[in-house]
Amino acid sequence: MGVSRPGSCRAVRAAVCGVVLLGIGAAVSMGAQTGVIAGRVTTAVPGSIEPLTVTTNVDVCGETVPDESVLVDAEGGLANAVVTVVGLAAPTGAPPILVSNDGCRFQPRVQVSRPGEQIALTSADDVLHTSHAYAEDGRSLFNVAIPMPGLTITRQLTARGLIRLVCDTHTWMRGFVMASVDRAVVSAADGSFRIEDVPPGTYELRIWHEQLGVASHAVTVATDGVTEVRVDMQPSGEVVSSRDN
Amino acid sequence: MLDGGRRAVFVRVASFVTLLVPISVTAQVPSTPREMYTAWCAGCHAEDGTGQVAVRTVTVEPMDFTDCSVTTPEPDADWEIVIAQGGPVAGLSSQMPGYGDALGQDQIHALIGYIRTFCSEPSWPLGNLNFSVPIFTEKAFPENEVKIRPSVSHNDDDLKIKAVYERRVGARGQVEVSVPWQMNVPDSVTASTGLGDVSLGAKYVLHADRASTRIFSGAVEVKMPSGSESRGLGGGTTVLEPSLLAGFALRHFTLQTQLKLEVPIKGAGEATELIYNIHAGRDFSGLPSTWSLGVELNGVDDRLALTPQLRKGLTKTGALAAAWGVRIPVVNRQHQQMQWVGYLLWEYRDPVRAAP
Repeated sequence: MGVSRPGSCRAVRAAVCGVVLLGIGAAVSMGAQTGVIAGRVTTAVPGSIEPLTVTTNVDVCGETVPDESVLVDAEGGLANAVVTVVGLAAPTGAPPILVSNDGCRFQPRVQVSRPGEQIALTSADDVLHTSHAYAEDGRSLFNVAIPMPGLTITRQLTARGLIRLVCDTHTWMRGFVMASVDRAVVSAADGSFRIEDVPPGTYELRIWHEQLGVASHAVTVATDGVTEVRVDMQPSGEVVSSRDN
Repeated sequence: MLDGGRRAVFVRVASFVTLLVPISVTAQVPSTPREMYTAWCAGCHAEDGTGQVAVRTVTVEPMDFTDCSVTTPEPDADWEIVIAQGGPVAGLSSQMPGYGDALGQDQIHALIGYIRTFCSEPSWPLGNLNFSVPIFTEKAFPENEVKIRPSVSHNDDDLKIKAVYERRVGARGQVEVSVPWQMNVPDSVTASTGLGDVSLGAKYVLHADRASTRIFSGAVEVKMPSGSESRGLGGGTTVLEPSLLAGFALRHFTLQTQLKLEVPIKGAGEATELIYNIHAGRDFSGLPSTWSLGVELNGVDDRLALTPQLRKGLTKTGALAAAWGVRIPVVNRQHQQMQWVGYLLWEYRDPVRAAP
């Protein structure tokens, strides 16, 4: 039995080593052939301030709950906007997203997933919640009762596009899942978002927000670089300014 | 700040950590039927079962459980499937959620039992005795329905269509009108077509046990000579038809029986006939739209026939149903003909279309 010595790359070994090195080089090269879209969704629309009045189960939910329909930070960053790269396929086989009925609110309020993937529904509240999902066309997809805290129920997202979640026992509760076959992310509290591993090319970015509607924006992604985007949304999805850096 | 991809991964990982860590449950989980109803049903259906709550959170009108005509006619299996899977499974509102992932069968049964108590009149027979309608055997359970029952003789193409309107009266009663129309083809050259003998009838539940295993009813019909006797469309005399009806819930089957006399009021030459029907059947699920399979033994004096049959609920709500069968003579075959038989049934108190 021979023992391979470091550096003794002769003849056949040299060929094998060459192929291996070539493969590693190609892999590195392929990794470098994608770019990043990073950006921020902003708005001049003021954020929701007035809390919502609780009409049932005050003992559990409190007198009021915050209105989270338009969350804007001090610098105009818009949270919970869904940014979709049209035509860039979303990965399959992701674990279920989790929505919790917590403080008589759906948390997280906005998430992205893919049609056919699973959604896990749970509750932290000691009160009956229902998680009732509607498709974009108004069809009821499922409605599960979560009568006690700590229970987790899983369902499949059988529709494509925006899926709206409501609780039929607490009418102010709203949640949204964008079931997209394209890559999508949700903007953070400061409106920022980042989408990695984007092959170079020109894409349409579609930005959705539950109150401000839908906007679109073209973006060109270069190899091995970060393409910065800023989208300023107004009501009904109007984009008043957008720029790439 | 986390980038989009990492943020998503973080949220998902955090979610699964959350899933793995049991949330501390400090609250008392309701255990008695009343506690369960108060915690999980009363928000929409009201503490007193009327559906009238101070703050309504749903857009549909909840059922009034204190109305016995709402609370009693459907079998437990229907209630169970709606509570477990939600309203849409039986054509009801999608705002009725499914509890099947959260509650066990025992809890659901306890809730059904409690909901039934909102009907304060125990004389209403429970829907567990409301078996699927056979083609010939009259049900013991009173109904609100319209039934169209065609029958075609296999050899001479005689066609009979009987339309029956039934309406419940009070807790146990039912009245009905039966209008036959028939087309006779006696010699394949001439045909007589027209109204047959119209019947008026009434039915009353004599006994229905609370365990929902058996029901007995008495009924009487008066058949009037409205059809032309000379054209072969009617009997030409008034006929009194008293009958005894029974239904039994066996392990996985139902058994329904009818014993009827047809007594001509006038006409010395007319003889009293004894009619006896026995139906054994099985529903394949608790859904109103389920398939049912059954077989009937149909006797008229010394003539005996067998009628295998299939029934199917045509809508999610169960408001429409159809049955098909074939009546095959087995004793005294020379005096009977094979017939294709069936019915189309409309339970007119139930919505035909499913709720959105």
